[in-house]
This record gives sequence, C-alpha cells and structure tokens, in this order.
Amino acid sequence: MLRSSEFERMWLASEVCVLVHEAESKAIIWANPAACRMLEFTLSELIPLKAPDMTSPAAQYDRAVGHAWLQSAVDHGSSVIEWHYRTRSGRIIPTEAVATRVELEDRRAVIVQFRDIQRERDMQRQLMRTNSYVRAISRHADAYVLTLRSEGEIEYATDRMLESLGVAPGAAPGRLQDHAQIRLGSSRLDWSELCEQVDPVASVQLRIEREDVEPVWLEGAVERLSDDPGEMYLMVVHDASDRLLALDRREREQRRQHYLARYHAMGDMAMAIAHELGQPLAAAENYLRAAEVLERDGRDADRVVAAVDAARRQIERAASVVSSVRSFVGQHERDLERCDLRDIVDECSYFVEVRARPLTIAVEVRRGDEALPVLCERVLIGQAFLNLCFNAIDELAGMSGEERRVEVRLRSSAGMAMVTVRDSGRGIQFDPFGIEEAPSPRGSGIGLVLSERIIARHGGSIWAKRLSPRGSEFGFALPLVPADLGGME
Amino acid sequence: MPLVHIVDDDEDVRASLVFLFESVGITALHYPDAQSLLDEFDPEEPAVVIVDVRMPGLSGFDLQEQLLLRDYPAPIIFCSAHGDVRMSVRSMKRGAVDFFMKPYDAQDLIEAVQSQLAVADARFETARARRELLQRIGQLTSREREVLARVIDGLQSQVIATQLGVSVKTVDVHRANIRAKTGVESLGVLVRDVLTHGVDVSR
Repeated sequence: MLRSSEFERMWLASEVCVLVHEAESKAIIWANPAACRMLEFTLSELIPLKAPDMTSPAAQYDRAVGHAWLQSAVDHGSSVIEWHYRTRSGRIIPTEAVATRVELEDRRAVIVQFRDIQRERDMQRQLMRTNSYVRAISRHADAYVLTLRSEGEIEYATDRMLESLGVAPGAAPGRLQDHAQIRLGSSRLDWSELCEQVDPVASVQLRIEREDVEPVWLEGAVERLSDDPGEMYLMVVHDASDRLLALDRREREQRRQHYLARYHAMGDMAMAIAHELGQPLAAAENYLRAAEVLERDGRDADRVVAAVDAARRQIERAASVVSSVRSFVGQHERDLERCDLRDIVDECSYFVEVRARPLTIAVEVRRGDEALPVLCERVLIGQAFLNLCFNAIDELAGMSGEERRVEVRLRSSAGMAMVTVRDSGRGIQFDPFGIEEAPSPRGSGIGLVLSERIIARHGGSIWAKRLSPRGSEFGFALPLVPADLGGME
Repeated sequence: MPLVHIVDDDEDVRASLVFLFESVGITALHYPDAQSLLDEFDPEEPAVVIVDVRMPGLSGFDLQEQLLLRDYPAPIIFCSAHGDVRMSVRSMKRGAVDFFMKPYDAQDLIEAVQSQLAVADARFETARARRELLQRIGQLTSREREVLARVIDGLQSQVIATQLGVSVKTVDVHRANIRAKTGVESLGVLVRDVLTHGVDVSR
C-alpha cells in the first residue's frame, strides 16, 4: 500500500499537467510542476491568475465556457473539453482537458488534467495531407493505388481502383484475385506467386473482366513496404487497356491468320485433290459401266475381265492420291516437329506439279544430298513453300512462247536451311511483301504477307529479288536444328 | 453413224472412254490435246466432241472457240474434274450441249452422247446442204446474183429490169441461167434453200 505522502510525490513527478480548481469559485488552488512548466508560470504566479490570463483569446475559449465546463464536472463528476491554454510567452497550446470533481477534506474541488496534443494534431494533419496527396496524385497521374496485406486482401484502394474492380462503395473489397487476374507477361499468377517475385519491387498486370464491357488492363508495379514478408504491399498501376488490348487483339488476329493459312492450305489442296481423284474415278466408272454393258449383252468374257482390271487400276491410282495427301497433312499438323525441309518440299512438289502440268510449265527440284533438319509446323511451312511456287507458276502462266520454268533449290548456309524458288518470268514488279499485294489471279493463295509471318514466327527470314536478265527469286531460310535436339519423339 | 472425238490430257481417262464407247458400239477417236484434234480431224465427218476443260496448251474453251470459227457443227460435251459453275455456264452459252463433272455416272454420259449422235447427224446434214448451196451459188456471175437477190426479195421481172436498167427479156435470160447453173427445177426451190440456210447471195 502507498502512503498518502507518496501520492503527493507521484503528482509532483507526473508528466500529465494538473490544475486544481476550487469548485465554487473556480479559482486555481494548485498546479503540479508539469503544468507550471508548460504554462511557464511558477505555482505562486499561477494561483492568482484568472481564466483570460491563461487561455486563448479566441471566442470559443471565453471565460463563461470554461466556467460551464468546470461546473459540469462539479455537477456530473467529470467533463471533457478541447481547451486552448495560453502560456506566459503567448504560445497557444491545444489540449484535451479532463475535469474531474473531487471531494477534499474541507471543500469540493475540480482536478483538470491535460496534455499538449499539438504533436498528435500535427501528425493527424500530416496524415490527412498525405492521404489527399495520394488521391490527388492518383487522380492526375491516372494512377490506381492500392495497399494489400500479405494474404492479398485489399486494405486500401483509391476510388478509381475500387470502381475498376467492381467493388460497390462502402463494401468490403476482399481479396485482389477475386476481382482481377494477376498477370506477368503472358503468364497468369496467383497472389502468392506474385509475392515471390517482389524483391522488393515487381512489375505486374491486372486484367479485370466485367460483364458487357471490354476487359480492363492495368499495368504497373508492386512493392513490399517492409523487409518482413508478412507486411504490406503497395501496388501502383495505370490503365494500359488500349495498349494491352491491342496486343491481345494482335495475338488473336495472328491466330486467326494462322487458322486461315491452314484453311487455305487445305482449300488449295482440296481443289488439287478433287481434280486428281476425279480423273481416276471417272475412268474407273467408265470401265465398270462398260463391263456391265458387255456382261448384259453376253459378249466376250475376256473383255469384261479386262474392263474390271482396268477399273481396279484406276481405283488404286485414286488410293495413291489419298495416301499422298494423308502423308502430307499427317497427324501432328498443329505441333512443332522436327523434320527435314527436303521432305516437306518433296511432299509439296506433288501439288506444285498438279498445278504446273496443265500449263506446261517445267518444274525442276534440286534437293541436294544434305539433310536439312528444322523445327517447324509442317503444314504451315509447306504452305509457305507452296505459296512461293504458286506465285512463280501464276507469273509464268500469263506468258507464252518463251521458256517457262520454275527451279526449286535446297541447301544449307550459315546454320540455316534455305529453299529458293526461281522463275523465268518478268521479275518482281512491286513490293512483294507489301500490304497492297497484287491480287493473285487464282485468288486462293494466302499471299506473301502471310508467308512472311509464318517464316518470321519460325525464327527464319524470307526474301525476294529480281534476277538478271529476267525472272525473280523468292526464298526463305529456317534455323537448322542439331541432329539430337528438338525432336517430338 | 457419227463417231465421237475424245480430247483429254489424261491417258487413262481417254482409254477408258474409248473402251466405254466401243462397248456400246460407238466408234471413238482420241487426242491428247486440242491441237492434235485440229490437225487430224475430218471436219465433214459427222461427230460428237467430248473435251476436257483444263489441258496443257489450248484449253477446252479455246478449242470450242476454234471449232466455232470453223463453223464446225459437232455438238460439244465438256468434262471437267474442276468443279466450277461459272465455267459450265460460260461453255453452255457458247453452245456446248452438256457439262459433266468428274466423277460422273457413265450411263448419263452414254445417254447424252447417244442423243447427241442423232443431233450430229442432222447438223452435219444441214451443214453439208449449206456447203453445197454455197458452192452452187458460187458459180453465178455478179449480175446473176443481183437478179437472184431481187427474186428473193419477191420483185417481178419488170421491176427488176427497171432497177437494173435492162430489158425484161434480159432478166428472163438471167433467170434461166441461174436455174441451169444451180440445177434446180424452179427458182422457188432455190429461194427456199437460200432462206433456210440464211445465205447472203450478194457476196
């Protein structure tokens, strides 16, 4: 237990300022040293002071207000007020002052305890200012700001951010990944994977999908605000929808064109195949009908047998067309596979021949003895090659009289597998890779522009040049792959 | 009976068509390309032509054009392994009688050819008669042609005499000569033939 003299010592030592007022007159009867220090008076100087001597001259700190506050404590036990004291030197000190009624031995008094709250108020003001800076900056810089806890819950987000995330005003924002896809480059991450990337800063993309509107893309950085991984994360992003949507669209467009390339490759081939199958099937039909007629008329049995044999040979011819198509299209049409560029050219040569033959254009293929292993999508590279050949044939088809020939050559050079297609035509008349490509007379080709894209996607190059004295050369090169690498087996 | 000319660059198809037509008793001659037909065929022999559309050198359409230029009356049937509606429309507009897409039903082809053989007979007969008529008219002098043209227009001898500034008797002599040279019993028969074949006598 403490003795009463010890209580006095405690009051004298306390950092809390204490003034004791007489309950009836409100006159100061005591002050502790902390109060004297703050107000810059000694105890004896302080005791005769009246309220106006030691309070702010502002109207709300009028003597009557002070009296009412203290009286309220007398009446009700305690009362709190924000009170501005004034020091001897005139400095105003804002305080939160608590008045408490206390029964002394012979009279009733009111103890007022207060402390300087200037620092808290400054800090609060600073915080408010900082907050409004953040809002202003985010508004002007088109930035979206949010802070997240270590588990990915959103603690604070600017209004724009909340709006983008589709969080209703006043609602709990919840976890970021419940509202947005977190992405880095082209891969999708979850929050914990993103946190692993943060050291202490990482770039980030958010894709926000909402019904009936184009997806919103935000792009920026996330930063860990403490070295402790359990701490806060600050994310500052801006709207990059236009740029990223365009990228997204470009990617989709590319996929569409690859689909078209494949589709046209199939279309070109389907035409050629229809023709190649039509001939033997028509011949077989002729023989079988003849056999039927001969049989019905009871004529020479040997002729019937000959007709059926001939029909079978025609059906075999049709079957060989089917198998050459099957080997061209293959099983892995959408996969990158390791193959010899010479094999692709061999497979395609059949279709080149089909188109060149009716036009009496000679096609010569010099494939060479050297293996040309490349990693590619077989059908697409085949289509690019066919396209170069069909262009050459179309060029020559419009000419007459002169020697009309297409020369295909395969070789390797500087780590690349190269194929060139030369024609004896008029030479290049326009930028062959331009968008304004001269229309193909047949209209079913995919065009050089697309071939260029196919080759570029395979890490290769494509070119065209005018030959002297006439003709042109189109070619492309693909990187050779080492014999023991890149197989799909 | 008329024969069939087959023009197709596919040797197997050619051989099978010849076999087919022989089995139904139709003689077929075959050519690997259009130029061979133009070099070898007898334009006066009644025939039906079966031609592939796409061939090296002259296409089927080029051949059709060449034959039209020569007033060759044979019905032309096209065959193609390239399905193309526009192609068939174009050939039919120029007088092709049929268009077969390979593969086809051979029975349909036989029936089409058989019905065209009768057409060919009639067309070649007409062509022969026209050639003969032209040849007979070719023997007339230019004065006789002037008289014949006016007879065809239905003018009386007196009117013809006035127009040509000669006597009626002279016109009658021309009429007798025309009858003798063309070997007709009466000018009425000649006028009918000229109108039937649409021959221009003034040339």
